[in-house]
Amino acid sequence: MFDILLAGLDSFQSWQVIGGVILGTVIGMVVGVLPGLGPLIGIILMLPVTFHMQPVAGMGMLMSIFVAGSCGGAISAIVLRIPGTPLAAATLLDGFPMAKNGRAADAIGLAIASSALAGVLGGIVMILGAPALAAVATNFGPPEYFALAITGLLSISVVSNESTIKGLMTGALGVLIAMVGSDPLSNAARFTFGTNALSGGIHIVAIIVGLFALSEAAFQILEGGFRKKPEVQAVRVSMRALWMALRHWKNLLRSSTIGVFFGALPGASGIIASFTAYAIARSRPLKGDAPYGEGAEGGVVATESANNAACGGAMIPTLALAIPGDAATAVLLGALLLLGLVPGPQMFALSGDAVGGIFLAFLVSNVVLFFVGMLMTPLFVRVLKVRKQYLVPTVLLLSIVGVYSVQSRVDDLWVMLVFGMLGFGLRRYGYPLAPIVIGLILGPIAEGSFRRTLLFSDNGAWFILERPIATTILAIDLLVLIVAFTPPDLRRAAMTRLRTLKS
Amino acid sequence: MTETATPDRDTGPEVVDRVAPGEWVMLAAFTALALFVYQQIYGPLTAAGYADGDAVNNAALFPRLVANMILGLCGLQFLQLLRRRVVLSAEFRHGSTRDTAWRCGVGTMVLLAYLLVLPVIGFYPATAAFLLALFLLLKSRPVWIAALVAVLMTLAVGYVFEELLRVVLPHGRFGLSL
Repeated sequence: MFDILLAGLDSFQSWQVIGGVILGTVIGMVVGVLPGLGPLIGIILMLPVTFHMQPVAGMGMLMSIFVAGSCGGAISAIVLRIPGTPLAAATLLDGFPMAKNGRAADAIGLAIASSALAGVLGGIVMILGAPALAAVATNFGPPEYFALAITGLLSISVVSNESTIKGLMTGALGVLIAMVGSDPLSNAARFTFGTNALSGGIHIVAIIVGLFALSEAAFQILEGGFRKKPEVQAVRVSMRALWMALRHWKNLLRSSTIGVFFGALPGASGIIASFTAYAIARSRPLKGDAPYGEGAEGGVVATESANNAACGGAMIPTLALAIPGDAATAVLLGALLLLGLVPGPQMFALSGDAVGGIFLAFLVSNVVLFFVGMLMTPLFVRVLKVRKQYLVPTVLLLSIVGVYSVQSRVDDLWVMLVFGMLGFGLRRYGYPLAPIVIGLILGPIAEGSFRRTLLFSDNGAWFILERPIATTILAIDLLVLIVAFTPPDLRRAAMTRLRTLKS
Repeated sequence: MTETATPDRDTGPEVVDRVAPGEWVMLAAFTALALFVYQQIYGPLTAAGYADGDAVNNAALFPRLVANMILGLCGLQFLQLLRRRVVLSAEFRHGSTRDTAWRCGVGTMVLLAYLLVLPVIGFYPATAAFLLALFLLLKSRPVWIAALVAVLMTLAVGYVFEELLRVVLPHGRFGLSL
């Protein structure tokens, strides 16, 4: 653990990295606070900026947005009863009652302190877990990578809130979009319509910004309420919050463990982690705390520590196996690729200093989150007063200039517009967008591994079944698919039968 | 939309008992996408000799698999639509008014116009005008404050990208830059 951190110390010790982490934390809190934005949009908006930074500084900034954005949503959940991000949905169960009881500052302080402490714990698990997993994965060959890529693609589609079929359809769409351009193995031009403009493929930044930021802007306009300005009271947070959080240390440790576990599972995410941690904490209340649902400090600690620890957990398969668990980590994975780092076991062997720098940036971002949160909460609460009539054009402007700045090409803006319209249409009819990003990232890995598997085998694709790890992973995938496609009535009947047999 | 929604007892999300025409359009679009992949495989890729052979040279191998998968999923979705078991999307649940839909459409036109004039007149005038148009579209008043914010925001973003990040923003015919 210390070797890799020491190796990263050199690349971490620069003003660009530290400035990037601080800026990322502030941006993350702002996008987290504002309902409708969230860490994913923050990462997407800042992704083009990282092109002009060193790899560790760029990744440090994006990961700080990821970490702080996962915490920022708690502020609006506590103050307004509107979670800034879905991650904070469980926080309002006790955070808002605390605010109603005149303890808004305590609730926000607890949320920030728990997030920061759990983030550090998640970071430590990531630093221990990712290199260990990468070491195991060095023995993986194309069949195992193919199986893992399929797992990544399936899990996000199956777990998504919308229909499984639609999730799988958009995942396949992402895989197809990634195929546009030259085939890396044969050099054949695919889906280019004979034009040179498409021979290098479609730039991932234009696709992602279009799909998410543009479609979000359109939905924000459709929703109306352009001049709405919520009434919020001034809130000042004190350092006492850290001791309040530590009073719930058992809850904090337990919820962080839950967060890391669910974060590391592809497709599970911090939302499931926070609700699970809340349910468990509720069954083990701390003496002297208010009842759960009526302003229990333990409720805020559980949900916020779980969703921030999930960030560290989510980074483990992302860095070690190049398998992102959700859209935000998929974009972070894309950022790594764009910054010249190839995620996976090879990155730990070839770019140990960069990995160490990224680990340090992650840890420091959680410490910065605590101080930025303590000092700047009054500002973040004021951000809630920004009217949509200014927010939406700002998001659009940052999207446009950001996409343009990557390659200085106006053509990319047209690509962004096309994908914005596509994203709008898909979202309107309940087709989830996250699988497209996962498909974009994992599609080339899945295809390359599959074709290499065929190349090395005499038995065609059946060769995969001769590899126990790949076979096990694919068997689990198959099981997940069977469960997902079983009609609900049949599933209920099977569960009832199982319960009867058990009793 | 006049669908009536009922909660699905097992999975949680609401399920509509009438299918919106857009659902059929989306299904047709995905089917067309799969057919387009086949057209590309049996057209340009076959002509170039990349649609068969071993795993290295067969660039059509994986696209064919994905197209087959999309067609299979389209078949399942078709059955879902026939059974009228469609999950109601979050956006549908919130809905929109005629006024906001109109503003969204005009906003798209404003963005389209901005992309057209950006290379011609350059970043600064085009962006200031674009922002002002959006502010006014989203009911920002008085006009002079909207104009002031549009100009200041354009200058701030231009400064960050041109001066700090060294991005060459479109200069247009007027050659304007900081």
